[in-house]
Amino acid sequence: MTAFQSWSAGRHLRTTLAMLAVCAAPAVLHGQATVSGKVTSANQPLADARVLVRGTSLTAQTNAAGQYTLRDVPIGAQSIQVLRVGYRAQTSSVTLAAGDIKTIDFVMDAAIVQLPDIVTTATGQQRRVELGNAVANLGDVTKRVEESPVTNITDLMVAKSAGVTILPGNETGSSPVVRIRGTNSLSLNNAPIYVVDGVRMISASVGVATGGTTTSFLNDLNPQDIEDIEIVKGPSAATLYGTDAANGVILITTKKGKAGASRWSFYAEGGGVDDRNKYADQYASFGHNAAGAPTRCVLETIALKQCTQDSLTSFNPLRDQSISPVHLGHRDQYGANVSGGTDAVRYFISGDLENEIGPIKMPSFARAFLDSVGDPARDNEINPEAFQRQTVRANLSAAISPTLDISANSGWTNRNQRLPQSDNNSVSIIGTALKNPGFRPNTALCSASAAACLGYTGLGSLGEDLRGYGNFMPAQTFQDKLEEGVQRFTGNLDANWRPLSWMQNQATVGVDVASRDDWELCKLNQCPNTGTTREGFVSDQHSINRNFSAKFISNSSWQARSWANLKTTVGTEYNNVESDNTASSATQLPPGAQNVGQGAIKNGSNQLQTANKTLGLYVQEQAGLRDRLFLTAAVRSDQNSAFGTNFQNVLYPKLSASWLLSDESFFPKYGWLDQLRLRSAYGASGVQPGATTALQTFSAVTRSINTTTPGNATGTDTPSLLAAALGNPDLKPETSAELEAGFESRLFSNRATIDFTYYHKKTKDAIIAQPIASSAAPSATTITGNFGSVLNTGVEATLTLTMLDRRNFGWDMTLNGSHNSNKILTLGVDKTGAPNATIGTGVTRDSVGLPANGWFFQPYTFSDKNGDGLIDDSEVNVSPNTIYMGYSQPRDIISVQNGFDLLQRKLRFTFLLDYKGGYSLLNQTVQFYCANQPTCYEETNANAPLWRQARNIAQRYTSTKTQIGYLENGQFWRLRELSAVVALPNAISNRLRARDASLVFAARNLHLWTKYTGADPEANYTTGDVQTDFETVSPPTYLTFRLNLHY
Amino acid sequence: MNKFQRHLRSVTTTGAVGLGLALLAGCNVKDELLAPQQPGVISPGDVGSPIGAEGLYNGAVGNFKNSLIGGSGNTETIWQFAGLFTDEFRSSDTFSQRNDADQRTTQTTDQQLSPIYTSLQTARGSSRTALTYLRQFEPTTSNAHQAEMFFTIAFTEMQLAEDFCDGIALGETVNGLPVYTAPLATKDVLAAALTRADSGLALATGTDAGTVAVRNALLITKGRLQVDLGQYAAAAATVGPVPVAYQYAAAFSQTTNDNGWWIMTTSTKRYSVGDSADATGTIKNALPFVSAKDPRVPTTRNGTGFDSTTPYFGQGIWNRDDPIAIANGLDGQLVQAEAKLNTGDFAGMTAILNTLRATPPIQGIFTPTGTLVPLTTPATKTDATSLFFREKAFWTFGRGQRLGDLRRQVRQYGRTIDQVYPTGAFFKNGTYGPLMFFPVPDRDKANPQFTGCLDQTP
Repeated sequence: MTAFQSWSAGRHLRTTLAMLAVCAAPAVLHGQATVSGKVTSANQPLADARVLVRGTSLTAQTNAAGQYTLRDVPIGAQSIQVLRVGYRAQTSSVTLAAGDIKTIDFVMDAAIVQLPDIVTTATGQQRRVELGNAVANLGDVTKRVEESPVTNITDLMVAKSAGVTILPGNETGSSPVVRIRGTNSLSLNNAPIYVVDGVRMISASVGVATGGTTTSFLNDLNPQDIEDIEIVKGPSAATLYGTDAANGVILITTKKGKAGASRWSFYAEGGGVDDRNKYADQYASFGHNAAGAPTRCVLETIALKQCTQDSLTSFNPLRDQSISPVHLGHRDQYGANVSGGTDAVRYFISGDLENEIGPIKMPSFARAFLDSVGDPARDNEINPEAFQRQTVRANLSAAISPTLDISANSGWTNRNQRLPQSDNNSVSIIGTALKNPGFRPNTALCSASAAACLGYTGLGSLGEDLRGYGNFMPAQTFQDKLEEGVQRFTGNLDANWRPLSWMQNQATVGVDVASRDDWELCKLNQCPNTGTTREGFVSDQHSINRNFSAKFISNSSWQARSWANLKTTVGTEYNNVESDNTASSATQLPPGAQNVGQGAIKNGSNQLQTANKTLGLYVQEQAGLRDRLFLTAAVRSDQNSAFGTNFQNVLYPKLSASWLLSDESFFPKYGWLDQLRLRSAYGASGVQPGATTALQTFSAVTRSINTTTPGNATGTDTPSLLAAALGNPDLKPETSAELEAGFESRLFSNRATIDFTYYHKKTKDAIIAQPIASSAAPSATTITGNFGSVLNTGVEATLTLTMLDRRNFGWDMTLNGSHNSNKILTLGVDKTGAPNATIGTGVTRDSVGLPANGWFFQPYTFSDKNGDGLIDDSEVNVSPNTIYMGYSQPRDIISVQNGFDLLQRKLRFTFLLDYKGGYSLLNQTVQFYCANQPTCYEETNANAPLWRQARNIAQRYTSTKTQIGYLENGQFWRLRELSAVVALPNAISNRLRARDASLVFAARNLHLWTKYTGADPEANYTTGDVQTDFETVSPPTYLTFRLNLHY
Repeated sequence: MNKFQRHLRSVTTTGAVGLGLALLAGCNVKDELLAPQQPGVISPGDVGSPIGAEGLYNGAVGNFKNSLIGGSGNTETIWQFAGLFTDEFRSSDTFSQRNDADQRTTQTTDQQLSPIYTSLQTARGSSRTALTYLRQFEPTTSNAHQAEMFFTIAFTEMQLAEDFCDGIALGETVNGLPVYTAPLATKDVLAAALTRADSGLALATGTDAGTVAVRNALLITKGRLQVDLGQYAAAAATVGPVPVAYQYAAAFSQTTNDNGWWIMTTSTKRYSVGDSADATGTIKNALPFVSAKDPRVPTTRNGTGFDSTTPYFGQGIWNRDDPIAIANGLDGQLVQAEAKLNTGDFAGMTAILNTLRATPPIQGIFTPTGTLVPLTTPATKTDATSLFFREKAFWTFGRGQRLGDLRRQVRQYGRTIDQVYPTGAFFKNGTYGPLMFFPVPDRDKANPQFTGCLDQTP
């Protein structure tokens, strides 16, 4: 044992003893009894109800017959409680003697408001009332999936929870961006982590060769398999999830088997995927100059009397169906699952097949062109936006003995997808269309006289007919094939051992392994004629992501007094998040070649294996006083492989209190107030540095040089070294500490609930890649350290209302709203010790006292001084000073969901409105084309309002240029979801031999209200913190039909 | 068992579980679980050897070359950006930064200029690091390579001084920590570079081909620095020993880096060769690199550029992996011609230039094909100056010397900016801007002594 190991072991022993001292409320062994019974509602057995002995860790779940059994129940006075979503909790008191076998039946009443009373925490399942922090639960996920337009996990979560900002993927199978309670980190990823059945899930986005749009491992999850999703929003709740949990935790529980006869579910879904976005028209102003020569006018030259407009035309290949690459896509999905078993062994098995073809398709004229040159398009070229996924899941649970349960959960996913060339990309399908000349060209005329077509020849560099596209025609851009294949296994073994009535131990071991292959191909003489592309190139990249998770939790409870219950938890958790990557590519392919080995020039790289390993240990003590006041104290200690060598471990404390105030005798009783609970929590958690950030490194490169005769014109590829990262041995995790407080209330006979939370989250030791001045001749442009501090404060509120609850008509409503304020408190100090005021020189910067990634521009003023209705550069005045211009992330989020039950509840109609506001968005697509092309609206069309003319002048014609005119209010309202669910008549169900059947019509992204002048304020390709709309395919509209059959 | 005993038992049991977990976390197992920290990282311990020092030398030479003209995707180097800034090239691209450089309106926040400046400074740092390792691990056997590192540092600092304003700092990074220094006036940067060149020359005393090649590169660099400082006669003496055919070139290959000019022109058509006229009419002061049809700058008309609107003229000097001379004997001849210009020996100057025209030296692997008619000796200093800089512009086309020469015409030859730089209407929008050189980018503000441009003098 090294000195360090010896020291470390001794230190942990001391830590443990200290923790034992904290464990002031241990458990006491009792005698044992058995309680069993049946839970019913409306004379029907009620399955899946949770029966628990309050103040202990004993729980049971009712089977399909509504029956339950609680063994090893401590003797004495006990309170048995039954909880189930959609029903009012029932409690029964009983006094037990040793060896008693008692029967207690419960009759449950349906509750109007449906909030889950049991939530999943790091230490196991707990009653919601015991928690001092807010936990968002998506409710009945099965119902949501069956009855709304859900194609992926993002669709499930978007606009469902206050404080959770979700930017859905913009293309079929692309990556979403999820942020919770603002931006914590200035350099690290601000995305939450995901845990599936206790296993840390691979959730990364994957950069692929599109120009921006990425794929995501999140899309491997099949929503049909999910039982429950909980969103742990911040460090106050995520403390025991430790390092990497500061940005929140998404807890996903997959469906498990229920005791009883086999229950089958089948579903089939089909529908359309439609890109209904209004991509910008382009214009051409045909005119003549002072000498009478024909020329293209733009507003600046018209205003300066240098050009006189004769006619104005417009054109948009994206809206012209004869040449557009935008068409109606389609999707279909089929699946089945079966659940059942006995009290001893239960199973859930499912299978699912999903296909989606996105709206981007090769236009027919391009296909005809390829046919004409003897290179007919293949399906992967015709439909470059495609997604296919097969999933299989088998979850088994077994009660080995009355004290030991074991479950094995496993899921397999096979995903294949393609993405089109889009975004910030010289061969972007959107970009090449937007480069049109502003009129539908007559190719024969234009190729004969470019001057007659304002310089547009109508022909590409290979002599092909562009049909109005810019430099490349779709036949070529669609030949760039980009495919990704993922095979993934997620599984865990979970053992739950209750050796004593007061003790429950849980061990979980699991893996998430994903094998990914990304492949891009341009065969010889295919793809756009740029660079060496048409010589043929292929790139093939294989990667393996492996997450290994193991944890052990021991819960002990003690009824210290009749009014006081204490619960002690100790636990440890280990996570190893690993990945490695091998990439190869080749250029100069012979005819027909498609793989790297066939190319003349080959390149290969083996990306460094990265591993980020965390070992945590925690202890928690919880006291329940009179089952009204719940106090919790906990601490977690983490060690991590990415910490600097001078930093060993980090401690995360937690304190929380929950008080059922309305249950107190002194609290006045109001008829309208059913329950009022106050809660508050304080906790910390962190985010670890990147796997190698703390290390000083050198990089290996190959250079073409001649070492014998320096400067010889004939070089030799020579292995070389370069100093790379500077490292930082003092690097430690960012630590976010959060205080939240709020209340939950149920009103008007549970017809309404209000949930309000205020949070104050301060991130210290924020990891910042602090720029190093180039003049210091550094090997890296930044040095990473714990320099910063960021504050997020905000409020969240959820209101659920049952407006009407009649037999023939019901109306329920859920409103979520949140507001976030983000402020950078410190950015460290410079070499002289003076505080850094700002980091960054671009249009987004981090500046003390302002929000992270704030917008910075030089403002301008304008006026039409001569009153000619045109703005020229003399009428625009750009300020020399760059100033802060606002948030780049939404601050205000509102969602409104309404549900209407009609026709004796045989028809349910719901819609969901989603609002985001309080931020600005740089309309880079329009900005870019106005800066570079003579065809944009405000460059050419005299009908453009003055403010649009001015913003173009300010970025294009003034001596000092600024793009601020394209920084627009990102605010929007979107009709996010619309669905109608029809319960099919029994006659039809019976004919199908089904227990019940329903038909669903659903729509997603059906309508948008916004003043944003781009195609869509949710157009985005980046997974970073600042949304980027640049030649980006905008989110599509989904219209689907679905049949659900239950047996 | 009474209540206390039960309590004690529960404490013991829970504690035992906790202790077990703690031992798991705290003992040897912990180290296994958290190690190795990162397999495969090249750490400082791997580099501390003679072969490591040679590896760093190779890397530094590569960085130096790439900072000037190495191709890497859609990013350019100082020779290219400066080519846009002058009349050598025009932007046929959609990048606003390239259009700004072409228009001479580049701002301090420019997102293309900043990495170019950083690349030059990083190249300087790579050479310093290599020099440190060579001195430590090959103190007596690496004189030529050490001298070459002085050459790369001197040349890089000269390039910085020629293309950026007063206000360049020459700091260093030691043991992972930046050491910032005060910004310097251009003449002080040039003087610093001259010192590096002399240090290199002191080491390059061998007679083997490698050492001689480095010595010649140092002499050319020193000569150019002396010209920049107005020491024309000394400069001529310095470059005298360098053969006309000598060249220190950057080599390229498809598995490393392609020639940066080929990428930005032939491959992507983002840069078009400049000319003296465009859609706006005649461009004042711009040389006719296209319409002159000079065999030293062969061009080809090929549709429109990357922006789909600018008429594109491709360069015919460099193919994909053709080498490009960084320093050569031609440069030495031009130094000598300029020395003649400054002594009033216009005939001598013309004779040197005509000798070059009669027998064009090879540059990289390019030799002009076609007739270059002899020049007539100019009668006046003004004409001689114009002739010299025109000749030099064609000889050194695309090799990063034009901006320094435009600037020197203002600084050393008494011309005004509107007599030297492209002036008037800019073909994409507005008019040419006022800049004479690139500003020091805002990125350097992390230097507490940052001042930006100290002044706007040439």
